[in-house]
Amino acid sequence: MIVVRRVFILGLVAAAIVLVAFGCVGESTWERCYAGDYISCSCDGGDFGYAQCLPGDKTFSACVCNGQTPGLDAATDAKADQ
Amino acid sequence: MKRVLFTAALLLVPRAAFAQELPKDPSQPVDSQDTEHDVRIVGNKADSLQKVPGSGTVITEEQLKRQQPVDTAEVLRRIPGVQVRQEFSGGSRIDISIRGLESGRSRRVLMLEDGIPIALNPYSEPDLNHAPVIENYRAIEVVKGSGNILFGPQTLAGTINFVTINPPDHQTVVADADYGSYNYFRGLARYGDTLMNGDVRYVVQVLDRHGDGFRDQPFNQIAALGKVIFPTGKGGEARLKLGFQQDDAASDDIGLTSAMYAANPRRPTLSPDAHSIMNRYDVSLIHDQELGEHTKLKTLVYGYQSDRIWRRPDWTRSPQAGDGYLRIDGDPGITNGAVYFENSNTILDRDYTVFGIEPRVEHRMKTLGVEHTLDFGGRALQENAHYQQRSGSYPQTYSGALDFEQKRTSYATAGYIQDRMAFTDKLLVTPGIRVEYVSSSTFTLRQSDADMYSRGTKPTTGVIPGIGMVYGTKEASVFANMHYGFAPPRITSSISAKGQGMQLEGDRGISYEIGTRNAMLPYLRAELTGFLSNYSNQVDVNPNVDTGDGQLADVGATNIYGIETGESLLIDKLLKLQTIVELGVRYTFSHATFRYGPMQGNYLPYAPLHSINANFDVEHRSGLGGQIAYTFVSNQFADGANTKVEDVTGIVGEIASHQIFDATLHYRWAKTGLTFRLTGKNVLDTTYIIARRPEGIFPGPFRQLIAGLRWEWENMKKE
Repeated sequence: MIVVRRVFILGLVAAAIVLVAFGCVGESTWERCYAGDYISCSCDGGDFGYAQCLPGDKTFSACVCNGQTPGLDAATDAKADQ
Repeated sequence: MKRVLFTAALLLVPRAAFAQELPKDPSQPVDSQDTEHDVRIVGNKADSLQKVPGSGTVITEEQLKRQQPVDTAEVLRRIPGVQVRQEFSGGSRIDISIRGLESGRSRRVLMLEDGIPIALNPYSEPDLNHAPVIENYRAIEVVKGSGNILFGPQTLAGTINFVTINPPDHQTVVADADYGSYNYFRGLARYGDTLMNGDVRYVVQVLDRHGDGFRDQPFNQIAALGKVIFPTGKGGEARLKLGFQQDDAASDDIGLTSAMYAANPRRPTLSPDAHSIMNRYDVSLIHDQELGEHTKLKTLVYGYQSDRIWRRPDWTRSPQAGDGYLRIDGDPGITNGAVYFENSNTILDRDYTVFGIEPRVEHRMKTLGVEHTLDFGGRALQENAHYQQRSGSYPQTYSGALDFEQKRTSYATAGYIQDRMAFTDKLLVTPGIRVEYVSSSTFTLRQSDADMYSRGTKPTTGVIPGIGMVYGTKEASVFANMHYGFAPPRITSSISAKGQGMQLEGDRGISYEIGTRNAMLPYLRAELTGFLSNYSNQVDVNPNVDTGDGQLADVGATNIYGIETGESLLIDKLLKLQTIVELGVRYTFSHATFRYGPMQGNYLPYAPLHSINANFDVEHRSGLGGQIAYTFVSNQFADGANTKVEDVTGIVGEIASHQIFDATLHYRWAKTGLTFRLTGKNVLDTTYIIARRPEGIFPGPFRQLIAGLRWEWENMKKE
């Protein structure tokens, strides 16, 4: 009976270690780059530019400094700049 | 005060009553710590529940020990009619709903701890901004139906009372630690002992819980509890309790858009800089005094203070030309398809204080062959709130420029009387009435970036009658009751970053219950309750999502009816097994709809029609045991129009049904006091939407695996 109990406890502890290790791996990964998202970047003169997260490799494109805000058409942005 | 109350009691009691010998109260609840057999199954409390003129549930100490829950929600899900959402991250929130009432911050349920209110401001802002720490409790009581009128100020669908741990009667040490997914860690230490030859008992407990959160929202919770029980003379005992809780957690107000959730339901929070810190301090003194053979006086004196500061980065779905944005998440090519984060934030800085005193008298007497148990008492309470809203110039700041400032003070008094009349051993009739009066004054000191001074005062009186009847024995009984539903007018809790509180009217309605409990077979316990509530006004999430902005509103007349049932099959007793084997199943059908207006007949938002939970428990005498728990919640709607089709933002649309499994395995090594534990929450790793409010899709917790080790030591030699 004692042997059975010890084997059981060892098994429980081993299972705990394996499960927790399995449960923890790769679950807490903060990603700031999701395909299609934009992040601000600095342009000459301190203006806002935007770099887009590229699909696949989870990296951002080069900073685009055309004075436009993604989602607003160029005419609207240009009018505001005036 | 004692003399006044006692004199009042004497005036109410016929003199002849004292001369009669009373049998031991058959409806007196049995303390869970004193019994072994009443604690195993929910619903096995027919004798104590007979005291309550309505449906009720007691989660006992034995059940809590066996379940070893990770959080409070795990326990509350085992109660028929109760829906719970809890997250340690996300502001350490707990949202509890009973029978289809609005669940946000548990504000529609009267939440008590040792009979004392625990909401921020119980009258004018009854939100629960801290999740009660399950490790602090040894039992949980839930009362529904007309039994509610003994408490208050809210007497809506139900009251939940958390019963804190008691000091032991000998030296005891407990150490407990958990570690699991998302770097979840929990450490607990408890020490209890006696002084003065055992006359004085005390316990101290500290707890730390922290982790990364399943959506990358780190949290850190610290809680401490100290309790001393000491005699105060003949027939008197006092309990002094001190408590502290700090919840320091990421807490966002913006959820995923539909496209984001479809692409990756496990996407972390969009707003990692949204963060809240809440501190809560409480002190209470509960004094029990026997005033003769048939009379008891219980006096509760308490005070607590909560302060919470919450910063939320500003964002918009409608970008303005010329404005710069730090991040743009989502698809800006679709209208409302992206969230534009600005380089600023809004800081909500609020603190609340509550002071109260509640004398409660229980007197038993017999007149004309009828045994009476009179419960009467009152409450005097003061609550204060101080709001500040500031605009910060970057997302991580807690400073900022003051936009809005308001102070609020409420003075409340209440009185109640209830007479539980036992006409025979089988027939109990319990009429009662409660009267609430509250006067709230609001002082606005700054608004729209300008200093000002405006004052408003709103007095409110509520008269809450109720009556209940129970017929039967502790093995089998039927009950029926009705009561007036009441909740004081309240201030809305602003959810939108720039929003400000608004005064609401409060809830009014009538509720009915009819039900039965049956434990005639030694291996089966069952209860079935039908309920109906007609509200002339109900406070709920604004059903119009276009204008509601996630805020509360007076939504008008509603109708809620349904049934709830709970069955426990004691398989060990049925098959005469040495090992405890139990199956518990609970089902709730709640039909909650608007009664009038353009949304007549539509379901209330976030009111699921069906919910089921079940548990299968095994406990071998060797110390090996485990549980499997199952939860099912049917589909819900996020708006009053009951819109099925999901919109771009994710705010509107049907919320699909979901089912989750939890499992626990443990081994108690009695000889050493050690317990090994493995817990799996949402073991099948189901992804589901738990809410679309305040602004977008919030997924339910993903799979979490936790391993734990507990050590308990008791110094029995001192006895």
